[in-house]
Amino acid sequence: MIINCRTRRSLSNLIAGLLLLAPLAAMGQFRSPEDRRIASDIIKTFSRECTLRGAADGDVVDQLEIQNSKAQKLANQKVQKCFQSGYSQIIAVHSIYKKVCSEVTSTPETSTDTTKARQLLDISNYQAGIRPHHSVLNDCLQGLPNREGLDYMIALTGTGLSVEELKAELDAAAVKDVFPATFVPFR
Amino acid sequence: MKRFIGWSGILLFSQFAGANAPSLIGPYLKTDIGVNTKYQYNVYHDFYRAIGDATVSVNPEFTGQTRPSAFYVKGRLKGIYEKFASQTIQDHFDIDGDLKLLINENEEWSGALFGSGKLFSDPSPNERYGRIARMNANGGLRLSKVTGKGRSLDFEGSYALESFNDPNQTGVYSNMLNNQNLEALAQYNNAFLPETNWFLRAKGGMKNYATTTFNNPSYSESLTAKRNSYYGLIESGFVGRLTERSTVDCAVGWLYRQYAASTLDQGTLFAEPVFYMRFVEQVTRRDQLLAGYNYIVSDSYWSDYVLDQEIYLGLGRVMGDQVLVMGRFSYVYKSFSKPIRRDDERITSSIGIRYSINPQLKVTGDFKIDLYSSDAYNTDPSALTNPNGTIVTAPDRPVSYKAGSIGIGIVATY
Repeated sequence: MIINCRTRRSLSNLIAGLLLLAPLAAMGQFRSPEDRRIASDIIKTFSRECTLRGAADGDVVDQLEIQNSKAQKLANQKVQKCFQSGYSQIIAVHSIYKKVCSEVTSTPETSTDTTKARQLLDISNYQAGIRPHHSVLNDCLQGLPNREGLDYMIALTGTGLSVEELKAELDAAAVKDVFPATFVPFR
Repeated sequence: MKRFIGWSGILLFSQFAGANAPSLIGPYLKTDIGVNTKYQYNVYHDFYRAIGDATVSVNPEFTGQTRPSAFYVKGRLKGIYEKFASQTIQDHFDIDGDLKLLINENEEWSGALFGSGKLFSDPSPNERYGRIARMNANGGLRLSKVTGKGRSLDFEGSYALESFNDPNQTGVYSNMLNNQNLEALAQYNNAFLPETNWFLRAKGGMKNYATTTFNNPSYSESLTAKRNSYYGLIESGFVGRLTERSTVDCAVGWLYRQYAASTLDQGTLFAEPVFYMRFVEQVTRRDQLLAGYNYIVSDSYWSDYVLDQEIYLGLGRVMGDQVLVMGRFSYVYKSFSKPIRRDDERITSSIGIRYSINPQLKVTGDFKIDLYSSDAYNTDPSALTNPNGTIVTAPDRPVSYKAGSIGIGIVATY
């Protein structure tokens, strides 16, 4: 929960900052050093979080691709309709998100106001990644009659409880039985 | 874009959690190379002489798969070379691999042909005995059929082979524990919740030893025997998510295990309930608690069967994003059946740290304790001397021991 709260707090700060600064950024300049500092902080926060989110989104896109091909293979018209409207948007947004993230992470902090302003605008448009579009697709699949769409749904990132990785680590930490109680010699 | 997934990322994003996640993506080959150094206390697991030694080990591991399609292959190959600084009789090289051919995955009918092999050795019990070379191999076929929404049937048949080569024995005695195991399984699964399955499983098999009765003058019993057995198990349980924050894997069943009669007695029989349960609780996004209790019966090399009762508790905590700290504790009570009764207790504890420098590089640290208490004694004569020059007590050396290790390592992933 701690990480969840922190993430939410940092996201709400990011949104508030973006609401204040985006109109100024559109003009390519900042009114004061304070605005410039806030813009830099927003970009920095985004660059810290975007690689993780982008990687997670990338895997969702891969899984959606599999579900999309399955729907086409099985010629399920209703499911295909959901994918037609949502899947292409998800791919496009993911591609832009990766591009923005790549640019933001590779740009030095001392970049010009114009660059910062452009990055701020991009961030304000794509900071949520594929999540809103993915959510729309899931709503569409969930709304299909006879629960037909459920088999094609992929959970939204960050909502599932993941235990396997740590469980595997904890199991690997077990002390091995060195002697499997053989006859030799009295073990 | 650089992809960095720290430990908290693993917890936050379920896509990275499942070991099967990459299978959805495509062909891949992953290589892990680990180098570890540690100090081992009591390398011979001896009650009287706790001889310690430093070791260095190299552990390469390769996992991979071809592109998922109607037929595709998954495999893993793992090796370990461990070198001891002074007790070189314990140097060893183990290799372990498995291969699986998946057919029609996620279709109405699906199957898998699988096989695995392991070449390894058990530790030498003293400075002169030598390690006991072993080989395990198994193979089989698994078929699955989707019978309805969330319901499926699994069938599996497998054959396993175990081979021993005791360096201090000759003839049949060197391979006295060689055995083969034939097993069949049928399982019905019902996903009554999206991530939770109820299952009913029936399992049966037979285990045959190459040498069932022999005279072995090396041991206190003038006549020892390894007896063939057959068994049947029917059990039912749940596996999957219990609540939003916890998962469960548990089953309770009835086991019937019968050993063949021999000159020793009419053969032992185990016909009682068995069960296991295991809970994983995600206390917070950064803390995980693991708890379990096993009450299981399996074939034993020592006697006919062994009843294992194990309680274990584990705790994992992610600190920051890059450090994972773990602790695990277990208590085991082993009760060996007739004809050679024996009761053992074992307490183990471990603490581990994993520091993820970047996705390709991790530093590890481990501290392990292993305390074993047994009512079995080795009555073999011993000509070994203690480090202080005195003769090792013999006969009646207890099998019990106290051992441990502390070490650090590095794991690189490509």
